Amino acid sequence: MTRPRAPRRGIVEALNTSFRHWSLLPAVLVFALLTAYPIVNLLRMAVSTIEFRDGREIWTFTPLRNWDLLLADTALGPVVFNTLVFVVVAVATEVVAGLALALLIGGLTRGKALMRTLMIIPILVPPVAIGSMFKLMFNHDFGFFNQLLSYAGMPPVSWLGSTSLALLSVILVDVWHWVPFIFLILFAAVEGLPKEVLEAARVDGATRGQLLRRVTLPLLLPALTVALVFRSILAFKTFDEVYLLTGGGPGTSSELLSLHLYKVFFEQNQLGYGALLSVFTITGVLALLVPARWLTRRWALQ
Amino acid sequence: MASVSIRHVDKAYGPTVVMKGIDLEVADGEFVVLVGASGCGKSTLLRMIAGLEPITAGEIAIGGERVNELEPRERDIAMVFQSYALYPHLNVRSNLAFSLELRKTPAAEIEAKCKQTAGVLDLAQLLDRYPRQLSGGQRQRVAMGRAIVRQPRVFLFDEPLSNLDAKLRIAMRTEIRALHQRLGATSIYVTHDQVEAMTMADRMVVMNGGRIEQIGAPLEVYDRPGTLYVARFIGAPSINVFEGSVEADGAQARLRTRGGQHIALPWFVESGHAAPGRAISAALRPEHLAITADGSLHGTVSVVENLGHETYIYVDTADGRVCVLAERSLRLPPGAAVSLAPVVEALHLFDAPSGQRIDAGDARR
Repeated sequence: MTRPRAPRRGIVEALNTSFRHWSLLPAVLVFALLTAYPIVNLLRMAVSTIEFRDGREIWTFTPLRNWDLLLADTALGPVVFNTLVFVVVAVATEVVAGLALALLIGGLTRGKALMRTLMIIPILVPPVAIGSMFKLMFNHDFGFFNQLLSYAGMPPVSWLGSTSLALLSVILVDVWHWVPFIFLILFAAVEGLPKEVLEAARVDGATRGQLLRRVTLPLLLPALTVALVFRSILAFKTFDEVYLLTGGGPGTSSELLSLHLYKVFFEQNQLGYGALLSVFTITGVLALLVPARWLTRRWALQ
Repeated sequence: MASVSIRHVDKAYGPTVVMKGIDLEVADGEFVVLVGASGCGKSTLLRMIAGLEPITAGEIAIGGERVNELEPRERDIAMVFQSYALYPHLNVRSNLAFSLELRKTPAAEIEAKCKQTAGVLDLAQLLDRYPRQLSGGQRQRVAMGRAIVRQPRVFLFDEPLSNLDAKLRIAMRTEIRALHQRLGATSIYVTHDQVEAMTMADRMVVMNGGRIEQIGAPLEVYDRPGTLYVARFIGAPSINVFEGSVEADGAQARLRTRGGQHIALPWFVESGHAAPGRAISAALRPEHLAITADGSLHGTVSVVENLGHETYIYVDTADGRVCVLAERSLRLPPGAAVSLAPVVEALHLFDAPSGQRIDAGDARR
């Protein structure tokens, strides 16, 4: 008895193919719901005015009004400036300190594991705890920092209350919080450096300085870029530390973009304008991400 | 160019002593090969000469000047690493120029020297490539170039050929030797490959367990191994070793092997070595055993290896498998019973507990 096998196999194959396509559906749905929909909605919000009346939200298409609000926002200039200062100063300090620590601890003959574990602790502390902790330490009357100053015979300083120091104080906390992150990335890279290459350089006549500048740093460049890019993106979005420590004050002297967004959305109830501002922030971060990705891929190929 | 002196050098990691009382004089322009199994300390010794590894006691001098306290960069040496250790972020030209740039050599001179070196090592077409774009053999040549470009006093080689395939390894072996004859630079070369050591060395240093077993010219070491370890280590196929004890009756002495066979020891009685029952080992190279009708050793053929120019026959005896160098025309099927005659003059005898060579001249009993 021979069965007509060929056509049946054709059906099975067709079912197989369509099954494969349909099995993508959950992933597509999740992507659409969680990523695409919010982004589309954000873009729609950015060109609309949204009011709440009679228990309903009312959307009106007013693209120019949000632009006008943007141009009229006097706080925006200082906020963008603060954010840039914050990102550049905080990230630069963190990368330099993280690199120094990674090289220092990488050069230890013993106690490496212990040092690495100790370094992770700041990452583990919840931001709210960090905010409260440092708020106490920055306290004008009994805070740790002013006590240090009084031991040194200097007058107390208003760390969070003065326009010239507030942003700097926030940066200080951010550095404390994030140096370990940079350290971990760079420490792994330092541990992975080819030992014989460094030895070859020493035999070839390199002093410590030359070794660092001409061999170690170039070899660490890919890891440095990754650390720098990640940290910069995260720094652009910093919210909790500012919110908890200064609330952006005094005035707008320590207000960063994320906090400003928060205020526009939830204090001024300007949903449309807030959305427009968010789109700008995302664009800014993307502008940072694309060249960085290109650079890291180029180095990865080497 | 300079001599290298290693005097009573010890090396310890904490309480663990890995090297004790190393003494070695390398003459100016000499090519010395440190050879031994992995873990024998040969690479550590090389790294101590380079200054990459501190020494625990003793003294190392280069060109008569004590260098114990000097950094690697102050010793004016060049080293070729097993991994080649090329600078991955620099192209071939910059790899060659690196050491010269560190010394602030004028650009024109750097250019000239790199060009010359590239010519010597056939690297001219590769100057703009990066190490990742090179084959193993090319990387090896760049590593060599990086060493010779600045004309150091001493060259150190740490197993530079072990990452190459067999054919390239043999070619580079000859090339390195030729380069040495041309440059005449003092060279210390570490390898675990005894064939490399035999073919390249002016003198070879056989190391074992952090000690020097024997120093000598390759043929000297091959013909008169100072210890059983050296006898076993040098030579391929390996030397045949028969363990046993001395039997003496009047003017005759012979070795009775563990397997119950006999090997005559003609000079043993008159030189006073023949204490009956003394445990010794007799070693014979494959070329010093002959397949004859009336040999004193007996066995059956197990494997025949035809290498073209020579034939090795492995014979299973009561004392284990024995390798014999035979004539090509000799055809023996596996399983054939044969008897073997040792060339008595070529016997190497070793004191069994100490492994030290026994010679007619140095009777101790």
